[in-house]
This record gives sequence, C-alpha cells and structure tokens, in this order.
Amino acid sequence: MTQQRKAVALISGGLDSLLAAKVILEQGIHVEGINFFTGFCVEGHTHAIRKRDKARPKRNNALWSAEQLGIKLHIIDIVEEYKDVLLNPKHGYGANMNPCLDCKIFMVHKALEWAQKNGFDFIITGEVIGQRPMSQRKETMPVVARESGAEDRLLRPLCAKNLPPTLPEREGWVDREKLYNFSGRNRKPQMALAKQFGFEDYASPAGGCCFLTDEAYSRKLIDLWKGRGNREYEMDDIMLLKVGRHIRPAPHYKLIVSREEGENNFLLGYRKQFIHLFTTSHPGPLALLDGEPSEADLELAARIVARYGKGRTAEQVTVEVHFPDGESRTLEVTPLLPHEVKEEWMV
Amino acid sequence: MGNFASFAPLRLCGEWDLFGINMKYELDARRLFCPMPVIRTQDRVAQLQPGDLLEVVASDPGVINDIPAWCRINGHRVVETREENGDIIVLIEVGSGE
Ligand code: SF4
Repeated sequence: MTQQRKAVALISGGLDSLLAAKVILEQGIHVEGINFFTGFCVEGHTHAIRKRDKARPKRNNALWSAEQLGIKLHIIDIVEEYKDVLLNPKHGYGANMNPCLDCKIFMVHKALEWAQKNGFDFIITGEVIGQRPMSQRKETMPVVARESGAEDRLLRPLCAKNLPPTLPEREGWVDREKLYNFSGRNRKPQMALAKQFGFEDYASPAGGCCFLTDEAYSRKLIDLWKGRGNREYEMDDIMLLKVGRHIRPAPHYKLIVSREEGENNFLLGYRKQFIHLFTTSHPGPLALLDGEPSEADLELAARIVARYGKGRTAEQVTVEVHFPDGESRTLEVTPLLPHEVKEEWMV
Repeated sequence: MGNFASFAPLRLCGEWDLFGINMKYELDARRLFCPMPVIRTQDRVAQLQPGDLLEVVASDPGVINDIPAWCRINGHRVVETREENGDIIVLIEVGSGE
C-alpha cells in the first residue's frame, strides 16, 4: 500500500491559500491548515472595538477557508517571536512597515517545524510569482525556500509549473501536470479556478493580510516607537493603535481619544494602565494619555478632550483626570477651537 | 498528544459530571481579542479527553462565530452559546478529534 502523504497548508484566509490547499487535496493528499497570528493580522479584532460592527461580527476567514476545504486548522500564536521579524527584518520593509519577505520566511520555517513534529511531508503556500511586489517575485521564491529551511519541501501549487520541480513532484506524491503556472498581478485565473471549485463569497482577493501594510497604521506604530524612545511593543499597543484619534501635542505624550461608544468602552478597559480623561459637565469622549505630562500638558490635554465633546462650544467644560494610582483631579477648561488643534499633532 | 504528568492535576481542578466519567473545565478568555480566545480554546482542548466539557467565557463577540467554526472544523461540539452579564459563554464538548 502506498503511504498516505501529508501536507500542511499555510492558510491566510485569502483566496490564494484556499485554492492552493484545494489543488493538493484534489490529488488525494491529506492536508491540514496552519494559520499564524502575529498580532497585526486583519482577521478578528476591530469588531470587538467598534460599536457599529458589533451587530454583525465578522467571520474569521482562515477558519472559513478551512471549513470550505473540510480540513483541520491549527492557529498558532507567534506574537512574541514575530517581534524580531518586525524589528530586524534582514530583507527590509515593503511600502510601509510590512517586512513581508522575512515574514514569509519565518512562517514557512514555523510551518516546517510543525510539519516535522507532526509527521507531515511537505508545505504548501498560495504564493504566486509576481503577485506581490516585495515577497512574491521570481527571485524571492528560492529565498523563502532556502532561508526557511524548507528547501524543496515547499510547494506552491498555483505557480509550481513556473518553478523547478519540488520533492513532492519528483517523488510523484503530487502530479505536476495538475498544478498551475499562474503569474503576475492578474487575478482572473484565481477567480476562474475558484469558480471551478465552487468557492463563492471568499475574502477580497486583493486584501492584504495584516495592518502593517496600512499606511496610517504604520505611521502610528513609528510614532509610538519614537515617542517612547525604543521599539518595544506589547499586544495592548498593537490594539490601541487601531482605536480612536491619536493626537501628539508634544513628543513626550500622546492622547488616544475615542470616536464613539464602542471605542469609549474599549478604552475604559485600559483605565488602570493609563492616565485617562473625560468631561463631566457635558457628554464627551474618553481619552487615554500615554506618556508623562506636566501640569501644563494636562491642561492642554483636557482642552483637547473637551474640544471633541458636546461642550466644544461652551465657555467652560469640566474635565476629570484620573491617574493609574487612583488619584484624580478636576480641571475647568476652555475647549480648544478646531483650528487650535494643530494638524501636525494628528498622528 | 496529552502529557500525562501535566494532565493529572488538570483533571483534578474540574468538576465531575453526573456519570463521574467526564470533567467540566472553565477557560477565562475575557479581554482577549479574536483569534486569541480561539487559540486558547484550541490549546486547552488539546489537553482534555473526548467527552470532557469546556466552558469558555469571553468578551469579544467574534467568538460567537469563531469558536463554533473552530469546533466544526476540528470535530468538537458546541453544546450551547449564551450571553451572561455582557460576557459570551460557549460550552464545548470535546470530540475525538476526527
Ligand atoms: S502582509 Fe503582513 S502578514 Fe502578510 S506577508 Fe506581509 S508582513 Fe506578513
């Protein structure tokens, strides 16, 4: 009897990884999915914060993909290990803070470790040559295979025919003839294949997999590091960059001002870690203050917070300032006028 | 595969069910955001026996979709999902993993 070969598929939640896994499943290989959580993944998260999203919780596309495929999915928390990838990418960053090539290498390496531990024979990804400017180029394909340690146990079913045969192909575990030769940014071949397999309602084909490709998010991350004087970060930092208006009136402190009730409630959860401010004379937002403000800074912060509340046109607004140690004080301030909130403060 | 040494004390901290065979455990996943509650559930379930119950308490509404989806994929059963004091509670019966 021939041995049942097993492949572990990197499942991001996007169309390409879904198709790649399906192509290999169709060849009678046992496939299980693996999904890595870096902390910056677009999946999940924001629906927990914003009120208007609460009524319609978003599905997790990696889980959805696995369900469509009828395979198991192993979700791996790599938040801690990923820090080194983000902070010291050997191959640099993409257009924003996305270290895509190092990220790919790292994930394939982790998948390889998992495969070895669990008795799997090879790894599949949904990579397509020329699909992404940084990490999916003809020259980077062997880099990922080599630097991850996966070498020829890494199979890209969607573009395999454009690459040298890998171990699973040479050994006849999979039929190379039934693999594909997709290349470039054109999404039509993937859409046609999705149709052929009967996949509908899949995640936006062009969607990036993480917040690090987002310009505004990357800017806030750089600002956070600059403000702190080091590039350390925790999960809470990653989350807070997704919430509220970020306003930095001076290098040594920043305000995060909620924009709606959901964000208000979310920020409230951090009140024991940060100085927080809110208006009491009028309805208004909650704001967290990250940094070490002077008395004058606190006054300015209170005026900024008042500017975003219902009392923005009032002469005087009462703002309570609470400190993490439980101490608090009340300030009577005049809200800033819109033009007094300087553009360069907005992160 | 479960590690027996760490598994024994784990079973002692659950509650016996009516038949005295399977155990009920709790997992506090509040203040975690998806997919972290799913990851914690996955890691905890890996330490349990088929038939054991795991009650996951979470605050992220994403778990209403994500935990049942994870259970369907991985061969476990959601016994019930309910809301209590703003928390979401999902009761899972551990399957054989097939
Ligand atoms: S978009 Fe993000 S998760 Fe995807 S490869 Fe790039 S850095 Fe990694």
